Amino acid sequence: MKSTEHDAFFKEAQETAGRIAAENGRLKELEWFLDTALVRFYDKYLRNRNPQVIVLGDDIPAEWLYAVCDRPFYVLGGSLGTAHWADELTPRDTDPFSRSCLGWLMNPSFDLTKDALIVTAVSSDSRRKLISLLRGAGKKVAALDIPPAGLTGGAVGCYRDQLAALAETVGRHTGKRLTGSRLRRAVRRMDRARRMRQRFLAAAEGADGLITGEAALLVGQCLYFAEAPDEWTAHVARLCAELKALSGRFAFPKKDRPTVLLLGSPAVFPNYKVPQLISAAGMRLAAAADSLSLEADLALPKDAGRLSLDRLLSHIARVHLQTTSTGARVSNDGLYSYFRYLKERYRPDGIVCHILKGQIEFDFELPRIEKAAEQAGIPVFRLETDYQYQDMEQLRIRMEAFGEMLAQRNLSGRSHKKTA
Amino acid sequence: MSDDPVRRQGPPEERRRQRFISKSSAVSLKYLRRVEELPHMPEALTPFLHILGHVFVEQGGAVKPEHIPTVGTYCVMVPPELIYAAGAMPVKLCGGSYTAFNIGDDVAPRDACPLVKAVMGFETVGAAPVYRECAMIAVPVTCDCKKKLAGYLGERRPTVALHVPSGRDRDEDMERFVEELYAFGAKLTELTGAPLSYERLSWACGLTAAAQYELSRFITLRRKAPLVIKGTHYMAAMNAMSYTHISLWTRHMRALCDELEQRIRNGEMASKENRPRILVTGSPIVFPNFKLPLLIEEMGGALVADETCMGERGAYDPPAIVDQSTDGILRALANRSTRPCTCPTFVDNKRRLYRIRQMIEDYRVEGVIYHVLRGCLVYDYEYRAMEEELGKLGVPIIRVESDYNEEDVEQLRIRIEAFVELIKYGKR
Repeated sequence: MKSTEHDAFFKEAQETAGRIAAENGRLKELEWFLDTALVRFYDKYLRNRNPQVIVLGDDIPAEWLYAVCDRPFYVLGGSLGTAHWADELTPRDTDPFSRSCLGWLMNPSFDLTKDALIVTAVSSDSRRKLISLLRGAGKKVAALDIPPAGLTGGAVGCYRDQLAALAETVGRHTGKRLTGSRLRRAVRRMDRARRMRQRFLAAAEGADGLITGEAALLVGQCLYFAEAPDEWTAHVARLCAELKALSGRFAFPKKDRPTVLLLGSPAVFPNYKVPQLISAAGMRLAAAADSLSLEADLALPKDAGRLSLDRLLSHIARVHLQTTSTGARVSNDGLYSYFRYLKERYRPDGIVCHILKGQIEFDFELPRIEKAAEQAGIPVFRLETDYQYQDMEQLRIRMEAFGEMLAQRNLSGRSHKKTA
Repeated sequence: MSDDPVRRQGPPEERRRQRFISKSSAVSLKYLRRVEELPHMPEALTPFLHILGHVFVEQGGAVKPEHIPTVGTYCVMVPPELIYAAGAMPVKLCGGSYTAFNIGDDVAPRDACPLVKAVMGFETVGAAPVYRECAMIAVPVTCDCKKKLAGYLGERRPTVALHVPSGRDRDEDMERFVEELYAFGAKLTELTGAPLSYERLSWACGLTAAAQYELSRFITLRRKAPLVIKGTHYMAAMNAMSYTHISLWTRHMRALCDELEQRIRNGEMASKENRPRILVTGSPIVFPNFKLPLLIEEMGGALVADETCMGERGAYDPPAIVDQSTDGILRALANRSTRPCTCPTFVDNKRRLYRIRQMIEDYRVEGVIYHVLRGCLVYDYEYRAMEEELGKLGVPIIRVESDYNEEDVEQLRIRIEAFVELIKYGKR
């Protein structure tokens, strides 16, 4: 392996982390989140991590996962360096997320897969072919087929049966069998994490000026990068307390910036160029309506912690099928309903639809989103990009124009109100 | 009636429809003529060309007995036997029209594959009767575009999305697909009122078996060297299957095979012996998008085999019925539609490599053209493995990426010409 390759891979993460640290210098607790994200790019860590289970993508129910394994290693793309490693293995038009995921698992620098079972869902064309490539390279892969349509008993049953079968496979590998008590415990852990995430988002919203959109995004994503969700929950609680204390101590004037929703393909650490551009163009990132945020926001029924294993698995299957926001479904109702919820919750001035080149499933969903946004009088800006940084300046110009347009709309809206 | 010519043509929607029909018919007619003008066309191919002409030039519906409803299908995973048994007729709606593609380009995302754009274009314009007359549409979810197409069509028409499992070697995968077929069968019964009984299913299997018998005769004849029928003519006959009632297609195919046998007896072959023998694989080649087979044959190649889903892939394998019951037949159909299938929708698709190796041997193939429709990612992923495999066999392969327009014809011509020359040069 050329050391320069690993250097470039590490530097990208270091730069993003450095920028977030510099912009959020007052938040001491944020350091843990930055370290958690950054450590995944250290050569030594990657060589010694040796995960038992690697989760490829964000479409595996987390409650189920933590019931059958400890310390799973999530691979969620995001890195330009890993995308480069997979260039020769994938066709030209492959989306950068898939390339990056493959690069994490097959590269000349480190081997995370030595003793690992890779768990994933067959949710897109690229995913099914990645599984094939990984198996062809001798990696152990266990996959889940997401029924593409319907919420009838058949589709839910099919999904539940697959979860049960996959649990056996993973359980054999990890020595941790799926039992009712383990699943209930995992449900409670994830529920605590979900509630804490909501608390954090509310705190971050109220502390504009104290924490940037990029930092808030990173905190949310660290749920997947942390060794355990409980650890993440504890640190988020401390961060919330710190935000509260700082808000009470200092009077940060709320900047009158247009707010935007970031929708579509997830912006995953370290590739935060879109949130960075949003902030640089004078806008505030209100929330991200992507699959990662939605998965972290999924709530099971209140009595879920008391149900039997079978019933709990059925609930998980139903909730995930109903709300999953991946392109695995014929109609991506999960993403749409989440977008509607966030639209009502944050009342954004604009929507940035981030589409990673090649992820056409989001493009197919765009007309429906545009229609709903148009009815609400919210402008939508479609931004297509990949993990390269060469297009930053073009995107910056476009994003600035969008930001200016939103600011003008806000100003003219206010002057209309005054006149009335 | 108004004297104003613009008003006389009706509202803009109608004028757009008329423009679509005339342009689409003109393109189809052009390609049909080019197919007819290729030398050594068997007389018995005429009915197949008439079918394509009826559907794409005259803008008629599917060729079938009256009062039979049609069910639109895509890919090769929807067993036609089920539809025939329910008293309907399957029509394969995978689109190859450049004109419909241009309309669909405005509806579908830029990076969607042209085949799906063409389907969406047909649906938007609502002009082609073969699409319009379908009482139901069955979309097997085989790729991202088909998945979203199912959602798009579902908002406009009665549509069934069939979940094709990504694996097919485990019993659970097969069970799941059998359940899908049962659910699809129930929808068909709702449509036609005919329950899927053992008698009806075995009758339908008989229909397809007769077609398979004639197809196997045809395949045997195609393996002859030098060629007894041009590859483009073969593709036209196979494409016509999509729009014809199977009993009628079988009759035409029988006549074609009889004529080809007679030609062999008379020593009338369709190509010279030294022509480079080429196999086409990859994304489907759907009429009227025949630019690739026509170019191969115009550039001096002999298109001897076609491993695409518009070729023999969907019709080659008969169902292996071991249990003589309704359930037994359904299971056999589920097996036949997935297990031997070489579609890259399946995670493990090594059998496509084996199939191509077998075809290279059977058809004495000297070069492979790997056709990738822009945006058809699943095929593109498999190119690397194919290239490696064929490299071991010493069979040259080129990847040809194309779209539904004629702008790239000259570039393609140069590449194909060079490829044909490369094989010729290698022979010396």
